[in-house]
Amino acid sequence: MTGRVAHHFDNAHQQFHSATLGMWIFLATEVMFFGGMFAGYTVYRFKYPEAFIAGSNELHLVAGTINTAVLLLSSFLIALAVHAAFSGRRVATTGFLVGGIVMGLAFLGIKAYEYSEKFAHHRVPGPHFRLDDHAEAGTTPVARVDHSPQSAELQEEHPERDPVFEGQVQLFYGFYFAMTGLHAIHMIIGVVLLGVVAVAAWRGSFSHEYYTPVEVGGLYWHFVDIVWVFLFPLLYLIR
Amino acid sequence: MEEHVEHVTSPFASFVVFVLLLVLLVATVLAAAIEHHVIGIVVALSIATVKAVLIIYYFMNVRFADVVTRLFVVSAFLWLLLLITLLMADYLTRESSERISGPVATHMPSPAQPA
Repeated sequence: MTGRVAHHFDNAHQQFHSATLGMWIFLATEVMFFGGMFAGYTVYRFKYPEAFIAGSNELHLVAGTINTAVLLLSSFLIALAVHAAFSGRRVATTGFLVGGIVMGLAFLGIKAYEYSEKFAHHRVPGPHFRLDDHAEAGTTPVARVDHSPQSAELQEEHPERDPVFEGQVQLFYGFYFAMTGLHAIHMIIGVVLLGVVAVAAWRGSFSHEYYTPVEVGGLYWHFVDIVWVFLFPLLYLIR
Repeated sequence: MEEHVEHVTSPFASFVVFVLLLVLLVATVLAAAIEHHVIGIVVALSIATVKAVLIIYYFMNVRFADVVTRLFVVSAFLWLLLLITLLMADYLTRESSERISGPVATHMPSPAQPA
C-alpha cells in the first residue's frame, strides 16, 4: 500500500484526493471550453428562434434519444466498474469497463449514421448547404442558397425561398456540428482512456487500496455524459 | 498510517440513479411537446440539470468528496452560469432595433461563398 504512495504525499488517502481534485480542476476548464459554445448557442437561439426550431425538427429524434440512453447506460457501467475496482474484483472491473467502452462505441456509431444522413441531405454548413433537400423530414420548403449566376433567377422562380432564413438555419447546423463534433472527439478520447485503464485492470494493477485511474477515468467519462445531457434537449428538442 | 476513508457509490444506488436518469430522459422527450418557447426551455434545462446533478453526486462520487473538491465542482458550473447570465443581460437589454427577440434581422452575413 505504501509502495503506491509517491514521496510528496503523506499517505494514499491524500494522494487519491489530490488526483480527483486535479481531475475536477481539469473538468472545470472543460466546462469553460464547452461553455463558450453553449453561450454562443444561447445568443443565436434567442436571435433566430424560428430557424433553430426548423433545424432542430429535422434532427433524428429517435436516434438522439437512443443515443442518450446508450450514454447513460455506459455511465452506469463505468460507475459499476469503479465500485468493482474499489472492491478489488479484477474481472468484474475489466468487464464493466469494456461494457462502458462498447456503449461508447455504439454511441459514436449512431452519431456517425446521423452525420452521414445530414451530409447526404446538404445540411453541412458551407457552399453546398441547402434546405430544399428535405426528403427525410418533410419540413416546410425553404430557401436554397446558391451564389452562382442563376441564383437571382432561381429566386424569381421560387419567391418562397428565403436565403436569409436559410443562413440562419445554417447557423443552427454550425452549432450542431461544432458542439456534437467536439463532444464526439471527447468520446473518442474517453474510449482510448478507458481502454488503457481496462488493460491495466485486466493485468491486476488495481486493488482496494489503489484504484485511482479507474476513478479519474470514470470522472472524465461521466463529464462527457453530462455534456450530452445538455446537448440533447438543446439541439433535438426545440419547439 | 491513516485509515482509508474512500467510498464509492454502491451498485444498487447506481442502478437506482440509472433508472431515474432513464425516467428523466423519457420525461424530457415528452415535455418537448410543450410548444412554448420559454416554458419549453425552462422545463428542458431543469430536467437536464437534475440529471447532471444525479450524475455528479452519485456516479462521480461527489457525495463522498471533501470540501475543497466540492468547491471546485460548484465553481466550475457557477462560472458558466455567470458567463451566460451576463452575456444575455447584455443582449436582452439592447436598443429595440437590435433586440435579439425582435424581428428577424436582415443583416445576417451571407453564408460562405463557394470558393
